[in-house]
This record gives sequence, structure tokens and C-alpha cells, in this order.
Amino acid sequence: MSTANPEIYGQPDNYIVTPRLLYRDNAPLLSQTGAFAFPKSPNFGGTENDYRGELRRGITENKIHMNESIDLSICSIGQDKAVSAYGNWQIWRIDRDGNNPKPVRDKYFAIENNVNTFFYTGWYNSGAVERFHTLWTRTNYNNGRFMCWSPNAERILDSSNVNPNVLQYPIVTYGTKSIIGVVWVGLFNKERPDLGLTWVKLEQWRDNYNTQKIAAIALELATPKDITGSGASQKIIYTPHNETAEYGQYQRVSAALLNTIDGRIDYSMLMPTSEFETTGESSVYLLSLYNYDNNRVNCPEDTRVYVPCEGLFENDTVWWSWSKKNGGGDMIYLARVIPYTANNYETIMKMVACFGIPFVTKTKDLEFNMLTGWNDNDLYFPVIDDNGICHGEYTHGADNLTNPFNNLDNVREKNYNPTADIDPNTYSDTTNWNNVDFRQAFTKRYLLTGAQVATLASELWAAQSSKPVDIDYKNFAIDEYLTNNPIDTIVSLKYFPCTFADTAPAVVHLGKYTTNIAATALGTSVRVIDFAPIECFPHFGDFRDYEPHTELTMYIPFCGTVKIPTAEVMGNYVSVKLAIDTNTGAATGYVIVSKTGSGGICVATCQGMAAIDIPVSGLQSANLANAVFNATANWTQTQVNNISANSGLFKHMGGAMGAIARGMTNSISLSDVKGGILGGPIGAVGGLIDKLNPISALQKGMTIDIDNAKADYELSHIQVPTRLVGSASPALGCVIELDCRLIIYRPVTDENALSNYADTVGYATLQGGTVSQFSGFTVGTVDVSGINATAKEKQAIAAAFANGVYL
Amino acid sequence: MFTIDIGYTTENNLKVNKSYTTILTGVQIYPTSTISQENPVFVIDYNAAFLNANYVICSALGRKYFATISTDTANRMIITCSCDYLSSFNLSNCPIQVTRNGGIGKPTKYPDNKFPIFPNIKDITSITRSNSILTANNGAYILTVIGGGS
Repeated sequence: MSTANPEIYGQPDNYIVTPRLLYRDNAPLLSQTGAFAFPKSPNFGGTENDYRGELRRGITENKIHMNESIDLSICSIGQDKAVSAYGNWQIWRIDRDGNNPKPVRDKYFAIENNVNTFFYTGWYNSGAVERFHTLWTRTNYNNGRFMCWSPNAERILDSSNVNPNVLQYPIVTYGTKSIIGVVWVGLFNKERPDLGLTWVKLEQWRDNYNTQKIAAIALELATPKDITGSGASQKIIYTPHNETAEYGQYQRVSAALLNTIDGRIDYSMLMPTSEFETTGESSVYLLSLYNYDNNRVNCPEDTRVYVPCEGLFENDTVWWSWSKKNGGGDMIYLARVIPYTANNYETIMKMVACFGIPFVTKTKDLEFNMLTGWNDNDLYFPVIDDNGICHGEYTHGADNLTNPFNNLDNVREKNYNPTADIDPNTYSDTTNWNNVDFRQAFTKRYLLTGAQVATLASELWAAQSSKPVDIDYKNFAIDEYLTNNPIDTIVSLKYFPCTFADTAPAVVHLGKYTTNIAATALGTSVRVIDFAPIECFPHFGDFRDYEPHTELTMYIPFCGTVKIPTAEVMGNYVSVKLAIDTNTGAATGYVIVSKTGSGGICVATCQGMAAIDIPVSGLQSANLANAVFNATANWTQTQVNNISANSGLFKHMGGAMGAIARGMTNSISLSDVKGGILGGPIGAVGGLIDKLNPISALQKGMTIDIDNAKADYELSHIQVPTRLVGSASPALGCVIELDCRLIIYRPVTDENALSNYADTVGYATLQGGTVSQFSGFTVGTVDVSGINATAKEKQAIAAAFANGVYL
Repeated sequence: MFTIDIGYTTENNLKVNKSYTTILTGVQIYPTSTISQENPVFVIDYNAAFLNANYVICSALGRKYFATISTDTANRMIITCSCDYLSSFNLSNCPIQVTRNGGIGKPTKYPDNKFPIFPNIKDITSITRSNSILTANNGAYILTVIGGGS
């Protein structure tokens, strides 16, 4: 990465580095470890350099470090092609209210490129921008917004305290030519510090307020909404920003139009002040103290004057102190103020041009007027070189059309990258879990206890018919068509070694049969059981913690064991999620690896069975009645046939006997048969009839001749209608562990063999350096080209090192 | 004529920049023929103090040497030297890529196929996590019956 353009940023020796971002909780914004170069005054003037100091009761002192080393790798515009303005502007937002990035509402945009350079803006009356920093808006710490060039990816790590691992994505991307900047300056009023800075356009400062100094420079960004006409009549219409604009208004632009986006986006920036001319009076002022508990308080309290801080930035180490009555204040504001001179004006133009966007400086009202086109005399184009670098030169008017900047590609696709080697992928370290549930519309499911199961068995074996007395053929409810055999309604009975939290009461209905079982209705079909994460702490702290030496296997209840690649888990957290399907009893185990113990990616799965099938048997009571009836009829007919064949007594009966036989089911009085049909030897016949038709006899309350009568039926002739539902399943071995278990297979070291290991073999490593940096037995490849020895001697030395020497 | 220092060292031959104990410095050498820079032979007068010497430093040759002392019949001592390459030159600033090092003190994350690990022995242990939803004897029965509608 090349160095910062000194034309813009001054000399690195004058840079000031702050080790942390200017955030309330001192949490670095862009990375967990980064130090961010913060070109500050005197190189960069501007407002609201945010030095955090703990303001307590009494005197507080803080220290500004100067001339510390700067990370030039994050310097921005004005460097090589990879970091030039030839990029896309993107709007970012970090929403600390949750995990979801929200669209940018206002005032923020960013350039995506290869460097970690950011513009920031808060509300336009209190914002501060550093080219190398981002900053939360001071008005709402829960919704930090910023503009940035993001390094190496389209994402920025939100290291806020709320969601330190949430990655945010650019919301909207604009082409470089899709932004027009309006240059504002903040007038510094030391007589009325309570009024803050007064913002005017750059040209207004020159034309109307040139006796006042400025303490800030701002760039308000507008997005041209439409272009009408062509040639000389072409007009660029753009509209001001709507502060309450919702995301819907920030549409992605198409390649054909400049854009269809409303609004302008404000931001202010710090610019190098080393180029600025100053006058005799103090050029540094303490603007204010900002106390979040008591709102903004100008400094010093109750005096309401700006405090000159002469020489504040002119020494290597500067201390400042102030007193405050009330504790809890958070920030102080220091500013470098700049007087109007023609040179200073030109310097500002130059600096703005370095940002690489078109800009205007007049009081031209964006809301009502419009530029006539890219060749408008009030529209400035930065001059861009062949490498896409802007060095501060600019054109305006007709010269814009011949400025190479005019030919920039306005690709505005979200994933467009000006360099080819940026990884376009969006990475995730979290599996998106979805609890798939579905409707059970054709079966009903009940949760039963063991006692309730026993009750169920009793009811299924009860010899009772569930045949309705009356069938209402007009009732077409589905249960009217269900079987009258309760056992026929059962699909399955399964035992789950789990507890279910369902509570909705439900009486068990078996078809039309209502049981006495007050069970519980089962809700969702799939139940997910989470096991707490296990931190896989490296036991040895070296290669022995990984395969093939250390192996990991996860036992998951019902599913068995699954091997886990050690490299994926070691040093991270591993957890298990077990999904049980209550319909089938199937269990699926998921092994999840995460860095923090929450979220994480599923790296392995295994299947099993969590339920035990319980076979269910019962009596088909309705069928039993029919079976008994048919058996009785068959036996009776048999007897009839026998009598008819063996005796002439009934020859004359014939039809009468047939009637009698039929009369077994019809309500024909036996006495009627005796008296009206047979006549004759009634007693014998009657007795025989009784024997023939003992059921009818029973129905009429007649006594059966047990000795001579056949049983109403012989059960041995009847197959009792029973039914078996399901079959016994292997009871999971009957002995099962219900805990998840991470089984670790570790190597065993031969300690006896280690006694001289370091001195004779050495530990495997891969390190570079110089010979003097190592000690002990050392094997390596040494470069002896720089010593004054013969070739043979050099070979001998190299060979010795390759085999091992003692340092 | 040039001089040599005669001494002895107890350091391992593979030690870089050995330390040694000087027996006598400035022993004069009058070479009568060309002297090998790598394996010089010096002839000196007999001195019993040198009987246990094994190390020679020769500034004239810019080298240090392993030395073998022998006594000549003419009551002279013959010092047969071989160059101690590892100590003759300043190797401190030579770049090196180290692949094994005892000075680390312990194994690293780099695989070490020489490390003494028993090949067929494993230490098996485990870590458990439970969930109260799973229960051995107080589970639930789920009865599924036919029946449609909501």
C-alpha cells in the first residue's frame, strides 16, 4: 500500500494517531485490534476532534500524543489506483438495535475500495468527519452511520457492545459521478459560542463572510435525480435530502440514468491545515465540552467563551486541563480555525477535488435550481489521472467535458468492485435454522402417561359394541363414517424418552368411541432439543490437539456417534441440536461449531430413532357380535339339516320349519309356532325347537336345556376378531445414554523419550529470522551468502545447520 | 611469522560460536611452506601445557580450528587443525528459516513426526452435556389415531 499523498495530508511525521476510535465505549469500530491513523491538526483542521477524557469533579487532565506512528495502509484518496476515487460510493449503516442492518436513512455514504478509509457524518450541525475514521452519530448512539471505503470486503465489522460480531453490508452504491458535493464551511463565532458554527457555502464565505474564520469544512452530497434534455439544453435536476426518507427512496440506480435517488447527504470532513495560512491570533480553540448527562455544555462552564489553546498542537506532548463542576462529561471539542485568504480558499477547493467527486461551491439552491449539464460553469470536476488518482486539480464548465473524469464508468451495481481481486462472496458463520412444521389434518395425536396406556388397553379389550343405536344419516360429520371398532382407529402408539410441555387437554376418541382417558393434545410435530455448547479447549496447546493425534467423536442420544474433524472444533465451541419427529420417532442430530458458543455452523449430522413402537391389540367388538350371530345361525342350520334328514316328523313341517328357522331372528312367537303350525306332538316339537333355537329361547326368556342344548356358540368355532396394530421395535437396546457426549481420544506421550528431545531433535516449528534470534538445538536453512568464507566452507555451514547445530 | 592462540574447548563440535579456554596466546608460527586455510598444520616447540589442547585460534587465517596435538620425535609438537566453520564466522545476522528448535522449550502447532507419541495408545475422555427434556423412565406415549378435520 503506498503512502498517503503528502499533497493532501502533509508529512507523516506530523500525523497524530489515536489508538482508538471516538466511540463512547472506546470500542474500535472497524476492527477489534486496529489502530487508526487519524490525521489531525495541524495537518487536518476541522471541528470536533473528539478527545475522550474522563471528566470528573475537579481537575482532569489528558494528553494528546503527537507524532506517533501512523498506519499508512489506511490512507485514502490520492494514492495508488487501488485506493483512488475511482470507486463506488456506498451507504452503510450499523444498526445496534438488533442484528439486522437497516437501510441508511440519511447523510451517510461510503466508497468501497481497498482501503479502510471512511467519511462520516452526523447531523449536519454537529457532525465531524475524518477521512480515516468512522464515528457514531452523536445524536443516537444506537444507530451509527458512516460512510466508508471498506477494506477488502463489502462488510464492516460492527464491534459495538451490542453486536460485536454483526457484519454490516453496504446498502446502496453510487457511481462516482452520481454524487455532487456542495462545499460548506462553518463560521467560527468566538463571541457567541452558544450559537455553534454557522454554515455557509464556500463562496458565501468568500463573498459575504470573509472577515470570519472557519472551524470546519463540510461537503453536502446531493444525488442528481434526473437529467432532461440533451446537449445545450440538458439539465441535471437534483433534490435535497429528506431527513426522514425511508429506504425505499434510496433506490439502486440503473446504468442508464444518473440516478433516481432523492436527497443529498451531508458530511463534513477534516482537511489538512498545514497548507492553510493563519493569522496572528490563536489558531486553536477549545470549542466546547460535551456532557451527555447535562446536554451540551460549552467550555468553560458558566463562562461561555471559547478558550484559546495556543500552542496546543505545537509541542510533542501537550497537556490540557479543565475543571468541571458536574461529573460525567464525555468529550471536548478542539478546533483549528482558518481565516479567509485567497490561498486558503484555493486550498479548500484543492482538497475537495481530491475526494474525486463533482462539486459546487455557490449559493445555488439545490432545491429550486439546477445545473444545466455536466458543462455547467458552476459545476467542478476533479481531474483524474490514468491511475484514477485525483491530485487536487479540477475543471469546470466546458472543460468538464474533456476532463477524463467525465468518462468514468457509472456502474452502480451493489457488488461492483473497481479492482478485480476483491472477494465478491458474502460469508456467513451461522446456519439458518428453520423449524419445519406441518399440519396434522388426518390424524389426531395424544400424549398419554403409562397409566393412561393401561386404561387404553382395557378399553380396547372391553367386549362392548360401539354400534350406535341410531345413525343420523343427515349428519355428514367425518366421525360418523369412522369404524365402530375402536382398535381400527389406532395408527400407532410410540414411547418417547422425552418430556413434552404440551398442556392442551384432550379426551381420547377412538373413532366414534369416547374413552375415559383425559390425555393431552400434542402440538407441533418436530421438537428440537438443544444441548449447551462445549468449549473445546486445546489440551496440549500444540500439534497433538489435532488429527491424527487427537480425535473427536460426538455421541448424540438416539443417533449414535459422529466423527468431528478436530481442526474445525479445537479452540471453538461445539454444540448439538437434536430434532425429534413425533410422527415417526425419527431423530436427527446436528453438530454445530461456533466461535463464541452461540450461533455457529452445522458441520455434521446423523440420524436415528428416538421412539419405541408399542404394539397395540384390541378386540373388534362390533365384528365379534356378527361373528357370534353367524356362528349361531350356522349351528342352528346344521341341526335343522340333521333333523330333516333323520326324521320324518318334520316332513310335513317343511315350510313351517323354514319359518321357524327364519323365525330365529324375526319376532315370531314360539308359542305361535307351537300352536299354529305344528299342532300335534307339540311338546316334543316345542322342546326340539327350543333346542334348535336356544338364542331365541333366551331372547324370550325361555329356559335352555343345558344338558341337551348346544351352546349358543362354541367359541372354538369362532375366530375372535382381534387386531394388532404395530409391532414391537427394538427398544433401543434398552440401555441408552441420554446425554450428549464429546468423546476425546488423546495421544499419550512417551515422557521417557523426551529427556533429551530438545537438545537432540528439537521441536518442529517454522520460523524465520536471524541466527541470533534462536537458541538451543536448531535445524534450519541458513543463508550464509553474506559471510566472508569460501564456497566449501559455506556449504559446510549450511550442511551443519541442515542437520542441526547448537546456538 | 604469525601467531596462534592455543586453548581447549569442551563445547559440542556443533556449537556455533564456541567458548574456549586459552592456554597460551601468541604462539609464534614460522611457516616453511604454504599453509592450508582449512586444514593447517602447525609445528611448535614442545610444551607440556599443550598436551590437552584441542582448539586453535589463528587470526592470520581468520579462522578457529579443532586441533589435534601430537608430539614429534624431534621434541616438537605438531598441531593438526581442521576448521571450525561454525565458530570462525559471524553468523549472527545470517537469515535462517528454522524447522526444528530445542530452544522453544515445548512442542508447537506444527506437526512433529519425531515426537515420541505411543502409536497405539489413546487416552479416552469425554465431556457431557445433558438436557432435562430427555428422560429414561418418565417419557411420554404418543397415540396416533385416525380422524380428520381440525
